Amino acid sequence: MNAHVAHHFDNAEQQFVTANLGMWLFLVTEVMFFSGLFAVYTIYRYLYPEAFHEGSRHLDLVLGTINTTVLLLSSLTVALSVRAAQLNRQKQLVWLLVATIALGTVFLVIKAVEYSHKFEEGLVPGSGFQLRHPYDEAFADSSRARHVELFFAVYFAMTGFHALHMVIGLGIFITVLVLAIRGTFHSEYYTPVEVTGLYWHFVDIVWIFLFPLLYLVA
Amino acid sequence: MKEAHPSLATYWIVFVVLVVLLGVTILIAEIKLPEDWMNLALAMSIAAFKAVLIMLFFMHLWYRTAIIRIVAVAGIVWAFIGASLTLADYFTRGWHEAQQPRVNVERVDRETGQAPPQLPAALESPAGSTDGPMQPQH
Repeated sequence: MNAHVAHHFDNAEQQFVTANLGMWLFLVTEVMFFSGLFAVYTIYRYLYPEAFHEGSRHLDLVLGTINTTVLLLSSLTVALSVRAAQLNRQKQLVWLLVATIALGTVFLVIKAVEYSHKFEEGLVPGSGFQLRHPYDEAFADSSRARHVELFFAVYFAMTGFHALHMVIGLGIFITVLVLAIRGTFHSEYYTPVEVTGLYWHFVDIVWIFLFPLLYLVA
Repeated sequence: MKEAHPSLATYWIVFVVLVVLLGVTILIAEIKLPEDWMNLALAMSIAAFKAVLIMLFFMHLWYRTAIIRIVAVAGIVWAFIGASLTLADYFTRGWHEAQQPRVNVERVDRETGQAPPQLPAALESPAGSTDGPMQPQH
């Protein structure tokens, strides 16, 4: 019996599958959480399609595309870090985790830049909300501007909760990195790398849906 | 612990396919399809395909036991049930038809076709809580 197997499990494999099952159950609750936000999006886009089109024009497609690529790349480094642990490649594992944390940070920095632009342009829902671009003319009257404001409320709620998940994920990955540097993980035990990876991939999937819904409203 | 896992090539192929599909998603947003909903349906189909790829290979569902796959699929199915029931409620309230704010609508008595006698302002019920289906706030 290996030291890393808790006494209530038959073997390492059973322990690993149990941890996986627990993580998937947690991810199901996360799916429920985000599906509520997606339902809000669906209802308001159905009610005010032009306002959503108008609001989407104010988002930076270049930054959004870069961020999507950064996130996809971070999912690859996470997947490869699990593989490195399975193959006992300690150094590779550490560097892949560092790369993941770096990519996650790049995503959040770009997101912060986007947010600060929205604040400068007065696109944050609230008393200061205003549409200033020349192409906003058709939406100048207050009731239609309110609908665009709704788009931005949905935008900040969805990307904000997504970014919060990224911050939490980064915190967990820093812990995993410390454990990896201490040499905790090997081919017989890498459960924290695997389940943290599951969480990270989930957050990536959420963004894969958010990107076309927010940045690419045709 | 013996655990089946994807090869290095599988990971890279999945990543390249994901990036290519991201490009396709952006391209189809620029193309004008006959109906607007077609762009949305196409974009969501591609996103769903990307999600399945990530779940099968990056999240290793392909290599997992049946119980974990069942939990994953049940979560998605349940989310669809919840969303369908919620949206079925909202979409049958007639909000879409009631797009215009109901301000300055002339009140007419159904029986006589005449405007009803004016009530003192204090007796008027607050906006939004009057007769008829609930209106979205404008």
